Amino acid sequence: MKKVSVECRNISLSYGKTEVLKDLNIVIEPGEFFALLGPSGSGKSTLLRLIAGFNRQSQGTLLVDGKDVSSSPPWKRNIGMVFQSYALWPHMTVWDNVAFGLVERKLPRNEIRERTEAALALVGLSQYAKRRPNELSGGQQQRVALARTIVIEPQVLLLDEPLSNWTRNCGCRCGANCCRCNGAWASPRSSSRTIRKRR
Amino acid sequence: MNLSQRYGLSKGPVAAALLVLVFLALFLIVPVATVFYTAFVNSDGSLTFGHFMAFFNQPLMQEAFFNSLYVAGWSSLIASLIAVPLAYFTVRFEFRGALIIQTLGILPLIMPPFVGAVAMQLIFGRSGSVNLLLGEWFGINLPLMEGLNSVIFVESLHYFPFILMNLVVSLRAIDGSMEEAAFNLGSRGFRLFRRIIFPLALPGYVAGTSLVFIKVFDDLGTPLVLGATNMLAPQAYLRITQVGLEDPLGYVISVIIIAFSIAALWLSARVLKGKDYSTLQKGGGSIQKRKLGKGESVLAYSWIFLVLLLVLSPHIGVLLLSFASVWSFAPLPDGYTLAHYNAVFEDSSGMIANTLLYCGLAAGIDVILGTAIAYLLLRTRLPARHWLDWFASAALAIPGIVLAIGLLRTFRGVEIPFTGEMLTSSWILIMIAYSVRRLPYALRSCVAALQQINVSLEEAAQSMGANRWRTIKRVVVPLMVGGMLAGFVTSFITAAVELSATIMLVTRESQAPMSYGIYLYMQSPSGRGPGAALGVLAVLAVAIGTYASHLLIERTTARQRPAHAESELPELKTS
Repeated sequence: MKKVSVECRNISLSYGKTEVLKDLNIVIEPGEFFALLGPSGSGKSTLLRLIAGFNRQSQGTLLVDGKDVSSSPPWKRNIGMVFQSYALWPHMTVWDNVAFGLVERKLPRNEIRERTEAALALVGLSQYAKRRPNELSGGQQQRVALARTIVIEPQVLLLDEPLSNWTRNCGCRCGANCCRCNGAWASPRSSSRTIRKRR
Repeated sequence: MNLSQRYGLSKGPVAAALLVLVFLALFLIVPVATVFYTAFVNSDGSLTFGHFMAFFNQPLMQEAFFNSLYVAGWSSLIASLIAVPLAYFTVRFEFRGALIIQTLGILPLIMPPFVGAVAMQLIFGRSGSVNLLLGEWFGINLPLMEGLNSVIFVESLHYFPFILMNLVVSLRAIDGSMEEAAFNLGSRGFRLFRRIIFPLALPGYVAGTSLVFIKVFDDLGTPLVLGATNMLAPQAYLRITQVGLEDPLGYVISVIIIAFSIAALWLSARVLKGKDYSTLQKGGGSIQKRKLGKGESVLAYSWIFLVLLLVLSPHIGVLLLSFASVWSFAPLPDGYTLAHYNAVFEDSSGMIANTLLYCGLAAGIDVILGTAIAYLLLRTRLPARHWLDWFASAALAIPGIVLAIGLLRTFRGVEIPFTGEMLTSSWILIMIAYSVRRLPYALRSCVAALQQINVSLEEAAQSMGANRWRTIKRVVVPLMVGGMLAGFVTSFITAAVELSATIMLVTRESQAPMSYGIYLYMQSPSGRGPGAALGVLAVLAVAIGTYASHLLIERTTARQRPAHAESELPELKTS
């Protein structure tokens, strides 16, 4: 899997009159594990949603792998996002949730099955494949959301508040899993950089 | 950045919006505009107020105008007299009657007033059951079903639930401390109700009453069935059907009816401006309920049972009528038979099939349009998308008869391609009229369903590589399907009992739906039995449909609860 960089150049974005992002510049190196920290309302989620393609900047350019992706819709970006609310589809089983992106990519049925199984095994939820999301605990749901996103092997993985629902017991296991996932295609640099946003 | 980028649009939504707009323009905006235009121009196309002068110079029209106002006014008043005590009982007192009142609220709505009208004559007419008994016992005769009284009586019994339901919502939103403060300052009893409770609940009352006024003012079927033709809507109908589409008075009446509908809505909006009295505070409770005393209990229950009896009388009447072999000059039918139902199944299966066909197609169109408008409204930033919503909802304010006249006028002489049949004489126009009139119901249902879906569910699908159309197909529609079905059912059943546009648009008996069939049957004394039987079938269908849509909505709401809300608590406890 090719490692890609994400670069924001002079990005500004406002909701109505509120300027959420103002002249933002960030370079995330290929393979880098990058965390955004900041008080609530400082625009962390806004930036993630902008990279994923759900928000559009009023100024500046967004480069992924050196190419300007500003005008491509979310479904063409191959950027995976785990939502703060998980956004699991309540009308589908866990299995169907995880397989969704592979079906959209029109992969052969065998490959869909193998990769879905592998992703569920990775987050330790193989035995819950037939359940519906609202039959799972919060932590389990979070792992489904993670599996659903990593199964499509996105070039960039965005996690919105990934620690929001980690309890102590499940946290250790999930944390380990998370690192394993990352290692699978984008090993974090030994010293992760952290940016603190200021308002 | 070009236009489509700025609004985050692709071609799909724009095309959908244009299609919806074309439908609304062709079948709602242009027809209504045509009605207005025709009312204000001479035959040579020059602007004139002459038709209005002619209208007000005709004694019959003057009479019709004042009669309509009189009936709508009295109906609103009597409906209020029935509804206000009932609403107050439910909110104020803790007693089992509240459940009966809830049921009372729905019962009249499942049967259109014109169906019960004839049965009401048999029960409350000069020689009806009640007056026969009253005459025998006390030698008195109540003129409940004489002339305009009959329309007022039937309409107020039918439409009071609009006031009841709105008022109950308003009363429930009053904070208990409002009343306690008044107690504290020495106000109690009826003065408390008059000075504090009722003014605080005024918004609900006004909203309900203006609806009743408009509904009664517009209604065509009930006055026609009761033979009270000296009112506005029947006059418009008679003008157009007897004098012809060229007669300007039909259009003048249409404009007047719309003007009064809009005026009533405007007036109620004006009265309510800045009066959001929903005073319920966080943590506060609504008005304290108390137990009824013995005397009060008797009073409350007798009022409820009296109203229940009145409200149920058209239903009971129609049921009796449908089984009665002979029923005249007697409190109850002389004998019972199933012959009317046989007759209905033999003669009128075509009508039932027509209803299924027209209403099914119309409701289908409504759900598709409703879903499209809801999506454009809530999920795109299309400029002027709110106009689609407003236009579609405006159909609520357009009486059926006006829409029908507008459609007939707009499409006169237009042939359906390849068939050579005139559009105005084909059933397609009836179906389209239904879909335009019932679109607001389906639309509200679809909007509510889409509002319950968290946007992130769609964003997640898009970040997995599903484009807009695939996301709609795989995520939005499956999650909305309950709301869409509920919208379908509501549109279907309300279209099935639509009469005012139907009477205008049906050109021959073979294309008549059930509602028109009931109306036709009710015209002749010998047809009353089968008419009532058909009415019973229609009411049953409507009742089942209403219940089904209620269930659907319940189920969808249950499933759409945020996925993790339920399982969160136990987990917190264990860790």
